[in-house]
Amino acid sequence: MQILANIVVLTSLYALVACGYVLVYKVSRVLNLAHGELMILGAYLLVATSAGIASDPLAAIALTAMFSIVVGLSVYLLLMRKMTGQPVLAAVLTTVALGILLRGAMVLIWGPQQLNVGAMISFDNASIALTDSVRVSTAALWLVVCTFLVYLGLLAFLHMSRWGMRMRASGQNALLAAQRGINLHTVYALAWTLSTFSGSLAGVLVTLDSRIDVNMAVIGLKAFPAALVGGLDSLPGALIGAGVIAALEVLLIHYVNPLLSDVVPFLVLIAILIVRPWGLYGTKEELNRV
Amino acid sequence: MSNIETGIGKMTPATTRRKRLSQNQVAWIGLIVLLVLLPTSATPFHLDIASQIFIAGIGALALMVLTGIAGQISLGHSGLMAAGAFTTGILYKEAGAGIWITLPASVVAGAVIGLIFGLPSLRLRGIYLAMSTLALHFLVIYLGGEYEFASGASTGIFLDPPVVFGFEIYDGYAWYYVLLALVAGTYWGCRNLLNSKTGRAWEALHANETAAEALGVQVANYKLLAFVITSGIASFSGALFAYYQNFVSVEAFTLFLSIQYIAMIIIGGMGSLPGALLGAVFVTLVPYFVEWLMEAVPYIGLDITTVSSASYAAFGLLMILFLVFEPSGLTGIWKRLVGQFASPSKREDTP
Amino acid sequence: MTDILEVTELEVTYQRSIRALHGVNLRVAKGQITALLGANGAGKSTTLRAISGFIGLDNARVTAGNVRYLGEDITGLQLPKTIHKGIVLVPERDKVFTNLTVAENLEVVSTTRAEGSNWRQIEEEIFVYFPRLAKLRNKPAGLLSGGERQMLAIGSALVCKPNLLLIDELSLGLAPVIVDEIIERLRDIHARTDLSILLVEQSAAVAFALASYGFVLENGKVELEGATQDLRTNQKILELYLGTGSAGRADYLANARRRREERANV
Ligand SMILES: Nc1ncnc2c1ncn2[C@@H]1O[C@H](COP(=O)(O)OP(=O)(O)OP(=O)(O)O)[C@@H](O)[C@H]1O
Ligand SMILES: [Mg+2]
Repeated sequence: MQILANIVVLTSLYALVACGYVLVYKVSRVLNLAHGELMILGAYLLVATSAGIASDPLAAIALTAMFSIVVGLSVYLLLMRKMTGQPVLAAVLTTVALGILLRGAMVLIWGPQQLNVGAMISFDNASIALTDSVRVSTAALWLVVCTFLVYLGLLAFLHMSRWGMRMRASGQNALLAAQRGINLHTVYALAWTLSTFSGSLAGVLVTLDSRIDVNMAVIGLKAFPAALVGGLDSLPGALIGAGVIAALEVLLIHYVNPLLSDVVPFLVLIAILIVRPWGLYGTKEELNRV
Repeated sequence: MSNIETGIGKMTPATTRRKRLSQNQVAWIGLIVLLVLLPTSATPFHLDIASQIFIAGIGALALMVLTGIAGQISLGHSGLMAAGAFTTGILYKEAGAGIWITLPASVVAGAVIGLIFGLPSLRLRGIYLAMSTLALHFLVIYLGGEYEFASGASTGIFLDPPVVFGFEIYDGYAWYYVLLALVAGTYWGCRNLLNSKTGRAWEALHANETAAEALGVQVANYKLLAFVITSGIASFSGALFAYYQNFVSVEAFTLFLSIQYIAMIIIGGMGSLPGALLGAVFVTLVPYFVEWLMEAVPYIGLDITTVSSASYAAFGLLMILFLVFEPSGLTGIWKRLVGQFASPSKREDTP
Repeated sequence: MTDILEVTELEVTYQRSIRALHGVNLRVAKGQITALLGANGAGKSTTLRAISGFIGLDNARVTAGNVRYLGEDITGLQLPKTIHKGIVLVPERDKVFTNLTVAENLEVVSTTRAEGSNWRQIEEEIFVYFPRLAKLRNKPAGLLSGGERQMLAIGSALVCKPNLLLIDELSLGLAPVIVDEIIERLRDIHARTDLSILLVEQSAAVAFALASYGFVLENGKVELEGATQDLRTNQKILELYLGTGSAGRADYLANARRRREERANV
């Protein structure tokens, strides 16, 4: 039973990170390889706000959320916007560059040592007993709740609001979207903002549950196969992908070999690429098989 | 019918072209003479940097062919180098194999890995190679780590200096000339490859896959071929790296190494083989430059993490600046400088 | 009569080297339907795209000439600015968002004028013109037939409240009955509004059925122009677009229809 709880928590983490990949890929076909670093940046922003501005945990988290929106918007406006109209190759390489820049900058600013964010904002990460034998930490519980809310919110936004529809429309046919008066820059900026926001949220919650250090950006890479399992452009798909990968990872670590944990997602990725490259729910035509 | 003007404006009179070609040849010969004579006035430290540049150059040439020419993104360069290094290390440690076995075996290992990971992704268009090479990286590193763990060599595998025709390649001078010859050979090989039918097919499919397909290029096969060949070369450079360091360990092959190679081709100039070498020089020197800079500036604690993370940030920033403002890289800047100093008559023929 | 659109000596170059238009001259009179005829590759779509604006992604540029709209020079104006001025294109291919439902296809449209209006009401207006669409409102547009797609495409263009509607290949690939229905609908819309339309067609029959004036494009240049009743009898048109030569003028309509059906069957 404890294993099941662990799987649910890890699924939530991967799903929350994966939806960031999906949002950006869905509208602009750009694979954001800086997503892991942006996620950890969110956590460091919490360190910064709690140290400098707000000492109350809730206020600090709210401020961090606002900053992460600013970060996402700036990434698009200052950087990725210059890459629209360029080949996707150049845009993806730009995200690689951004990732490494952020990684270096974060160590320079906050140092290489692990930080305990929870203690900084006096967040009590108490272990909660769900049943007699199953316990999860407070932060993990928050993670599950937040992932659920984010997915619900995103799905409602994409299907019920007009800007959400415009995001879906631009992803399907950018030229036609422009021909129907939709400002593509607004759509892309929206996607980057939402993506960075959800990523930062994941970063904050996962570091509250343990410690924070730059190497946790690898979670971003491990969540990426989850997005691919779902087809890279489908939110429900990403949720299922996250579940598959989290389950395999938890089970293999528990029963086979802990060292496998870094490899499992990528084994799944290769399997998906071989068997069903458009993912479980992705749009098949968009793959353009050669 | 539309009027296709390609080439008309770019035509150069035959005389200028011949003259420029000979100038080019003179420059190349001068460069080679310079490189051959350089060690006479170099310290071991300089020789070490030069050798690092040569090894990086071989890897950068491979990535340039794959990304700059054939248009495929790979994040698996470091993993492929690790594959070469471990093939060499394991063959040496387990079977005492010499360089004539380990190096070819490394090339074959890289090519086979390239084939395995290229097959699923290269049937698809776009960025799918980036994804499967990410898997390649983590898988190779995992296997390497498992080997180190299983063989009790948790600190890595030690290698003795390689022996070629009875000579032990040990000191800086020997390495310098051997690696210089190898990087020149790789350059020559890549140049010939690009001028062949295969190279033209790669360029065609980079420009436009659909159009290339319409012209009868078997896109999937050529993409796979590009990845297999360049994987072999990358793995080869990994083996050289292992010999040069006398040591193999997974620690050396991080994802950051792959990104460094990507930085080389971006900074050097996408699509240009000399650009790959320029990029290798530049990227190898950046950490030394950063260290020098930080020593020069007081009040900065100079420890290894600070230097390495400052280099990370510098690489990221440089890559972004080049991608946004100078997509043709150092080669582009070089060409423009040459164009400005050249006589006005020559400037005219660049539209 | 004033012109809503005036194109002079327009040149468009793709990818910096492929010139598709070599000085196109044409005019669209206010409130009229004007046809633009031409064979495959003549540059009809390029002309329409140049008028309605490119986006950065196309690698296409207006290299000479100019476009005047309501007396204002809009040469090289990019999307989506042209939409806000009232120039709206119904493209040749990919004309609806296949992953959105019919109703959503109408709702995503964004113009300064439509923002904040009552969506139900706007949708109902469109459904009055195309009653077929009302029954399909919750169906994904990807599942629509060719004719339904064309109706939806015209409908969503109308949501933008255009002054000038550019339609690329109205009848291409559609069955004759559907073409007749759409022609009827367009006439109806045109009668109720003061819309000006520039219509690209390969079928002279369809063009003549709707338009009052026509231009014939060949190799990126306008070769011929005139009122449709004159073009109808023009020997050159008959030879070039109806394949009948001097003898078969009488049955050109039947001929055109047959060819359309052939095309639809491919
Ligand atoms: N994106 C593009 N890149 C390069 N050349 C193009 C592009 N689009 C069109 N062309 C060229 O421009 C010319 C005119 O094309 P256009 O699509 O305007 O013709 P058309 O009259 O609409 O033809 P059709 O009846 O087949 O639709 C053609 O020679 C075509 O090859
Ligand atoms: Mg056309």
